[in-house]
Parts: sequence; C-alpha cells; structure tokens
Amino acid sequence: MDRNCINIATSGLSLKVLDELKTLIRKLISNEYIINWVNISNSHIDLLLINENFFDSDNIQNILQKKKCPYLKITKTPSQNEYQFDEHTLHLPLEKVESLLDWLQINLISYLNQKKIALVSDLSNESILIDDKFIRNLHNSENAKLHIFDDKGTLAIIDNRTQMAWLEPSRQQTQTNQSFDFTFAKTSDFTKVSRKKNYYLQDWLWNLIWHSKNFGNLATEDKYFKIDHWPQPYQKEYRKVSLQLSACFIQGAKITDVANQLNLSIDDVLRFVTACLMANNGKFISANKCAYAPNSYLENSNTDNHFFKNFIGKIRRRFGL
Amino acid sequence: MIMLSIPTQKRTAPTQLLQLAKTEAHNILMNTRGVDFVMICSSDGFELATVSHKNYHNTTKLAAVSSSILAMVTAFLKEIQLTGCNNITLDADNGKAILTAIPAVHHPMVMVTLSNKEVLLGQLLYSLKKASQLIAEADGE
Amino acid sequence: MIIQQYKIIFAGSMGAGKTEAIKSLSEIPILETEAFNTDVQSHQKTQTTVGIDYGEITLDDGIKIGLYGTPGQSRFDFIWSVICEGAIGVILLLDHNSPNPIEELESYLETFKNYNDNIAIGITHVDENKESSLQQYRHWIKANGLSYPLFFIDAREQEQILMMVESLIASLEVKVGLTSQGNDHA
Repeated sequence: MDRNCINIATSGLSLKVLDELKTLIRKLISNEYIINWVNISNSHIDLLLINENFFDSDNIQNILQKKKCPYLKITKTPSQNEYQFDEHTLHLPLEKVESLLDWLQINLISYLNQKKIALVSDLSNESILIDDKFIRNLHNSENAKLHIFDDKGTLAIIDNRTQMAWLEPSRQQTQTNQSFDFTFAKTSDFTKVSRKKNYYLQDWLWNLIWHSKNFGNLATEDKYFKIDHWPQPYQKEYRKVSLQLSACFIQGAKITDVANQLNLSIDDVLRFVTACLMANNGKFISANKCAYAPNSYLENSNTDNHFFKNFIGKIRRRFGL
Repeated sequence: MIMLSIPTQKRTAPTQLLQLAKTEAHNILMNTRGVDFVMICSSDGFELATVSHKNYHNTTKLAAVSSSILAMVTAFLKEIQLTGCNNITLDADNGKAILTAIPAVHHPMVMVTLSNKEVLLGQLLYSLKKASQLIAEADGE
Repeated sequence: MIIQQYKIIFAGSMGAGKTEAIKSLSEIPILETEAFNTDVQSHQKTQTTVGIDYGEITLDDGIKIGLYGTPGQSRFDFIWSVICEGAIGVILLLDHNSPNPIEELESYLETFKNYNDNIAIGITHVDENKESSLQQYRHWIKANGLSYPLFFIDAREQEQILMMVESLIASLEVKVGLTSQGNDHA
C-alpha cells in the first residue's frame, strides 16, 4: 500500500491556489496512487510545491538537499514561453493542463517508479508490508473472521476465535507469495471456501508458508529463535526435516547452528522460521535464552554414537522415514 | 439349577449372579483346608466379591493385576496353541495362588484363590473347576 | 548375530486408540490382551486392554522393535513403570472426546515423564468433538514450559502414527547431536 502513496508537501501557497492545484493534480494522477497532502516538516516527501519567493530560503533548501525529491516553484509572474513551464517553475494561471501532466509524468511518476523498483528489490531481503504489525493483526482474535487471499485469489477464510480455517477447494495444496494479504470476510467470501473440512489454523498456515518458496524471509541468519510448539507437517516429504528443526527450535537455538548441525541450507531454516512466525508460533530471543547447544552433547564415546547413528538409520529405512 | 435371566445390555454382573459366585467362593473357603482368601473379579480387573480368613490390604490392586496376568496368559496360550486351559497355579515357598478364569458368556470373571503351602492342590483345583462351571452355566442362556 | 530388542510404548487414556495405533504399524498380528469392558462410565466400548498388547517391526539385521500397548486406566499403573524401562520413547494418546482431556494429559505426563522423558503426544478423535477447542492443548504445553511434540491424529492412519514415531526419533537425534548426513549407511 505504501508503494502507491504520494506525499505532496506545499509551502507559501494561498488557499485558493492550493485548492486549484490539489483538484488539478488529483485529476491528472491515476487513482492507483493515493495522494497525501503533507506539511514540509513531514519525514517523507515525494513532491514539493513551493511559492517561488520562498524557494531560496534555508529551510526549503535544506529540505531539498535532504530529500532530493522533485519540486515545482509556483509563481504568478507570466512565463517567457508558451508552455508556462520553465524547468522547475509553474506559471499560473495554468491554461494548458497537458503541460502539467507532462511535467508530472517526467519528473514525479518516473521518480516514483524508480523508488518502487528499489522497494521491490528490498522486499526480497526484508519485508516491508508483511511485518510484526501485519502478523499481529492477522492473528488478533478481535478480528474474528478474515478472508485470506493473494494474487491468485482466495486462499481461505479463517476464524481467529475458534482457530479454524476453511480452504478454497482448488488451493488445498498450494503456495503463496508476498501478495499474501487479508481483509474482514464478507458474506459473499464464504461461498468461495469449502466448509466440509476444518483445518487447524496455526498448522494450516505453517504448512502453507513452508511450501511457499517465493515468500520472503522474515528472519536473518544471525538471529536466535524459539518456537512455542512443534508445527504439524501435513506431508511425508518434509516431515523429517520439519520435525528435526522443531526439535532444535523448541529449545531455543541459533539459526546458523541449526543449519550446520542438521546439514540444511540456510534458506530452508529461514523458511521454517518464517512459517513459524506467520503462524504466530514463537519469537526471536537473546542468545542466553537458548538451550540448544549442538556440540555439548558429544560426551558419548565414538562407538556409542556410531552405534546409535546406525540404529536410527535402520529405523528410518524400515519405515521409509 | 437356577437359570438367571440377564438383560444383554447390562455390563456389570447382576446381583443374583454375584450372590451365587460369592456363595461358591465361600464354600471353597470353608470346605478346603488351607485356603485363606477367595476373590471374584470382573475380567477387566474390578473386584466384585471377597471372602477371606485373613485381611488382605489392597484387593483393588490385586483384582487389576490378576486380570492382567490372566489376559497375558490367555494370549500366551493362543500363541502356543494350547486349548481348554482355564487356570494358573503359582507355587511358592510360602504359599500358593490360583487364578481361575470363569468363562461366563455375558459376564466373564476371574477367581483369585490364595492358600498356604500345605493345601491339597488336587482337591482345590477340582472344587474351583466345579464352582467355575456352576457360575458360567448360571450366566448362560 | 545378536537379535536385540528395543521398544516403543503406547500409553494414554482409555479409548484413545493405543491398540489401533499398534495394529497400524505392526508387521505381525498383534498380541491383544483385551477383556470385556464393564466400566461403561469411562468408555462405551466393549473390549478394553488389561494386559500388554504386543506388536513388532523388524529392522534389517534382525533387530526388532517391540510396540507395547498399555492399559489406560490407573488401576493398571503397575504395568507402566515396568514396561517403560529402556524404551526408545512413549507415544501418549489422548481422546479429545473425553470430558477432561487436559486433566488426563497432565496426569499421564506427570506419571510417564518419570519413566521415560522422550514423549510424543497425539490427540485423537478430534472430529468427534468439534465444540471443544483444540487450542487448549498447545496452550497448556506452553503455559507449563514443556517441549513435547503434540499433534492431532487418527490412530488408525499408519502415516500419522509414523509421524509420532518420527518425532520421537527426531528428539533423540537432536539430543545426541546427530546430523541427518550421518543417518544413511550403505
């Protein structure tokens, strides 16, 4: 949502001029953008509209230095050319609306698009949309029934009070991605899901995110993590890895330690942690709260360990685990 | 022979049947020298009736253990394919214990008999067999 | 070749599905020690385990793992301590339909953790009681600072019982510091 907001700051403009510009700019900019009219002291500014006479003031110059955003000086003095635009100056009254449109296109929209690209590439390392607040809201029991969806459509309806999920029948074994989102469920949403089978919310959500390789990570490898409960893996294919990871993280463990000890990729471990966070299972902790210490258990003699490894291997083979 | 009619839905043994079983147990206790204690239990380990000369502490537990042992022995007998065996005799230095399965159709039971070392085992086993048959028949249709 | 015997214990409340669970895994027909159930207040079923149910699986090299089912009622608790000795772990099954599942969970854990601390918990018959919340179990585990795995299963489903067995194994592997690389031998 933040990607499609434009913050326009204004200063030194009369109410009449301000009103005219607001109406005009709103008309010219597509509705996919939300426009916020903010004060020049706002921390986030995408476009500055400033009375030409105040342009050179220290305050304004500081802002422009810091923010490096596009700006437009507004003046009532007539322009030299017919376009009513010098490079960064708009001469009022504006007769050719197209010239403002062109200007906005060139100076503002492309600036925003560049920022958007930067934002998108950031998401692969660090989630902006899906953060603690998003997760808290997702699991807030006051937000009783929620409609969960992504760019492919409905995923499920969940009920935070009973901790149940009802799935869209064609997406029972599916993946999702960063477009994962939710709103309050409307009556019409209920027709999209099957009420035949109830899924336990925290397990369904864990399995969904675990499956979703295109879902960004909510963790970084230098962190320590502890889960509250072992997530229940729905499928045999990843049962072993999920249970081993659970056995480590139930004690509280360092992400890199677990990856090393279980001989797993960091990505897999991060995905496990991300899936747990999304399912509201566990949190990051400090190092001194971790009970998992991989090397300290090697007290047994080598032969004992070897025998035990052998034995476990046999059990796994026998059961196909 | 008293035939007792018992509604098939009822799991717990009816009073009449229990009374009969208690009478039989009492007879064994009084008529067989050396017998100290006779208990009737349900086959799933609940004490139903006890007659004894001596005070035995934990009859509840005894009922549970006895039913367990008998069930395990029954399973064992199936494995080794021995049929028609309905009792176990435990011969110790200081006494004997006999667990007898009463194969009543609707209310299967276990009889636990404890005696001293000198008891005439043959006579006791015979009495237990007769008593068991009597109780089982009373439960039959 | 020495044939060695290992064991996995199946414990838990009456009617939770212990005998069924062993049946679903055992490669031999199981040795059942059932008797006619007179305790209808506890459970309606007609047969109940009073001894030790026995099932078996064989690993390569002839190593056998005994699957031991115990009776659930506390009057048979003398069996529990004996049978748990030297076991790989305990699979504790509880019936979600029971009037006091949390009390039962607490009581069984209290008892069995003294015999063997490698325990995995399975809640069965979840579909039969949709009104009672599933959340209570993991909440209770967390509130008591415990780390046992707790899953919702159907005891007749082999794959789900295997998941319970696998969680016992995973706990052991992590405890002894094994890596998954070390498990596969030619």
